[in-house]
Amino acid sequence: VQDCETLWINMAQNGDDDAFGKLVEAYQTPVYNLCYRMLGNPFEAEDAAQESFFRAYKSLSGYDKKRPFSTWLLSISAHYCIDQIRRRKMKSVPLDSVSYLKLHNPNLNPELCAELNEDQQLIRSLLGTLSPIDRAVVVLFYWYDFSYDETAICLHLTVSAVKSRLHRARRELAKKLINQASRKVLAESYASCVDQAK
Amino acid sequence: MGHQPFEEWIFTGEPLSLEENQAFKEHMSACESCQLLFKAQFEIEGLLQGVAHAKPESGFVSRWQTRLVKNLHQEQARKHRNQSWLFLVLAIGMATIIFVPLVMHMINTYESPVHLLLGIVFQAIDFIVLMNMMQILITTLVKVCLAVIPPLYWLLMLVLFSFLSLLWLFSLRPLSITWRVPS
Repeated sequence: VQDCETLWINMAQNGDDDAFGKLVEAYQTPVYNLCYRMLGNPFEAEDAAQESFFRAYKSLSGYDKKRPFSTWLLSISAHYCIDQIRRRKMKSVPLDSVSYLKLHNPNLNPELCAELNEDQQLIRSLLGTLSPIDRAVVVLFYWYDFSYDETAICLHLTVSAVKSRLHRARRELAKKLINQASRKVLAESYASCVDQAK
Repeated sequence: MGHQPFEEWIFTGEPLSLEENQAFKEHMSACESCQLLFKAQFEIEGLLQGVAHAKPESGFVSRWQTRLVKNLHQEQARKHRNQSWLFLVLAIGMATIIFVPLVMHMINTYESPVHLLLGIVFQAIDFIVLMNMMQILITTLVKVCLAVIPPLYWLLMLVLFSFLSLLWLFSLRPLSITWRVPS
């Protein structure tokens, strides 16, 4: 696979668009997933993934072959998403107002599907509370198994900055989860009170 | 009860020493707040590690190829537009370079705005007189030519000019074609 990738990169650098198409095919899911986790919206994620590949296509001549292609590509994608989130904040579009990716898998039973969708929505709302760079750090660390060093290279940060951002993000996520859980418990106890009153 | 450094240790992700681990366990058994944070952190880790990669809708690569062609066209159009603007700015710059010394010269030559206006009026009259003389000259020339050159030669010249015009048109045509972006 690595040899194929190197071959496609070389061919793409020599102007072969079909070879770049192969790279797009190979990396569509990682790039799309990163964009989706960052932006929380399937339509914006599609657009961001396409734009990331276009940016990679344009700057392919400057790609350093010593670096892994995936790190380089995901770095482009992460920076594009960070910019998009900052622009979105200027436009003040709340994350809760946008649609999210629903899982429709006929092979899974509906209950499991609903549970997975609930998890997806929970993750989306939790990640939405983090700052763009913290969100990128969390996504790269958990979904792509990037080490501190790789995450630092990918996001142009120092290793200590990655560690401190990850630490802060974990704390924020945990507090948000506790907050949500206590709200849910309150809502459930209120509902049971109403039932008893009836 | 102090929650530090135990709260830090919950989120650090770094391994603890034996003593630290012992202290951590003792604190956790007594502190409900830290227990809650620990559980939440554990749940978050499980959630993040358990959710699969989101996949794009099928046909992503073909949508990418369509977008590539469109984006390259847009880039080329933007490049042309920028070149046109650059050319316009250069032309204005050149005109300014030529025009400013001329204006300065006129300002220095004429003593007051009245003199300047009079100068412009005189220049305009001179230009009209020159045009009038040119008209007389051309009319006389045409009359002489009509009297001297026979009609057959006129016809030959007309055919020749038509042919040259067509040749000119066809040679300019390739320059006006928009070249296709290689896909």
